Amino acid sequence: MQINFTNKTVLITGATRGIGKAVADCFFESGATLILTGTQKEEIELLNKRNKSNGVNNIEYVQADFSNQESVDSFLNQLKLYEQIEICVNNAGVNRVNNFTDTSTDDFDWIHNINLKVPYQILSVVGPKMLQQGYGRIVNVASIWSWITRPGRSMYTSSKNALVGLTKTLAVEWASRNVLVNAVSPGFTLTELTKTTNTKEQLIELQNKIPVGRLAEPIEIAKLVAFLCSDLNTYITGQNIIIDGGFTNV
Amino acid sequence: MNISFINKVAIVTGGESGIGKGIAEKLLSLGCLVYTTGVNDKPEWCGQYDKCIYTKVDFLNQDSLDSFINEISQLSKIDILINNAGIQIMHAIDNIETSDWDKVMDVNLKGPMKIMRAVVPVMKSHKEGRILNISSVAGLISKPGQSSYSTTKSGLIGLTRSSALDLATFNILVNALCPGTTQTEMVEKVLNVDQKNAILQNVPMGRFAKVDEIANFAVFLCSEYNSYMTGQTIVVDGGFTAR
Repeated sequence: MQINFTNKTVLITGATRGIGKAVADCFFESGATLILTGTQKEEIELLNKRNKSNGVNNIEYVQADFSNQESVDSFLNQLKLYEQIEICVNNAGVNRVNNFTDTSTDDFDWIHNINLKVPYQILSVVGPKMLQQGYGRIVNVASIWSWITRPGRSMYTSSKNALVGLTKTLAVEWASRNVLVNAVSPGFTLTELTKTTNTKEQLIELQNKIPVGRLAEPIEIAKLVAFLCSDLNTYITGQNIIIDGGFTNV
Repeated sequence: MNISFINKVAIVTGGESGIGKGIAEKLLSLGCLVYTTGVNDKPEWCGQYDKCIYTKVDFLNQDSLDSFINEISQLSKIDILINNAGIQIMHAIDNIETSDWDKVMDVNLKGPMKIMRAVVPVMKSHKEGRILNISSVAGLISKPGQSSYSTTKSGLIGLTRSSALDLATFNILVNALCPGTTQTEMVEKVLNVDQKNAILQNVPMGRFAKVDEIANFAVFLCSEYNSYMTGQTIVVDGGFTAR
């Protein structure tokens, strides 16, 4: 049973690190043609240059700053030019932990723009292409905070719940056109970000709260995303699938 | 990504036909050794695979079930357990025969528990295992006449959640899968055209699931490609419960 993305063009946002990068690696290994976004201009240039010198011609990194509407608009215009996009993984996201009484409208806008509005805008461009092709697979990367919550996470939880709501509605609207839309909600994942923003002691404390006793590796999340986007999935749609080592069960 | 089950051993209950057969055949085709069960004599399809071992088991008969459980608990290795066997008896709540209620409980809920109880020590000894309980969308939503069936299918979800926690540190992952209405021989037999069309009107994908579509995801969850999802209930229903 093979997962193969040959002849599939795949858009993955926030793909230079963390879960997004693991998803990109996973698709690349399975033969996909990739459009990958990242925020840092120098990094994107470097990645494109490196791929060119290595003879890798099926990956295109595109710089886009999703906190900047002009940058988003320019990215969307670029996206319109692609003839076909079969798979879209909305992975880019931000978080700022703040108690509700300390949040500002700016916090609300920043988080909801990046976590919700940009996926909406991307799907506004990519969705019609998929409907026209009669084929599409969309995975929106939400979070366990779309399912449960903690103090300080009102903005993030709101944005991720909304993303799941968007997921379900698009799934129902597009099911008969063979465009499947799902959300994947990872638990705590051992990304570069997690490693740098937590002390060793904090990481151990976190591990102890997870039933399987460890954080997820980004590749473990990526494999589920890959399955849902593959031709092995032809009937799962409108789901928010939690992959968290049992965390939300406790 | 290549999913393979070479050198793996699986138990799939209720493999005579339908979803159980689909999952068993998929595992077999990927190199797995499969122990499967049914209430009738060994079905023809099973004979086509060297690695298919069939046992006639009647989940309504505790002796028959216990003898099967005794057999599998002797195995030195079990990597995968798929609790799929199930029955349905329709009755309104004010019209349930206690004996019917007990039958549905025994097959759909008590049977899976007893089998898990027997299989887990073998999995623990290898520090590896994947358990998948086949629930149903009827475990999440329901319709008239389904009280006993829905109770057991919701019960399986609870059993899944809690046992996932018991087993998390042993690298034994436990999940439940809820198929929507699936194109099986049983559905063909039980539902008339009008009933089928009535259901289909509410399925966004506009068609029933094929057995293979359920089997693909079941097999993925039991493969080495799932190493972090546990305690989850995943719905494969073409958008039916999202609406």
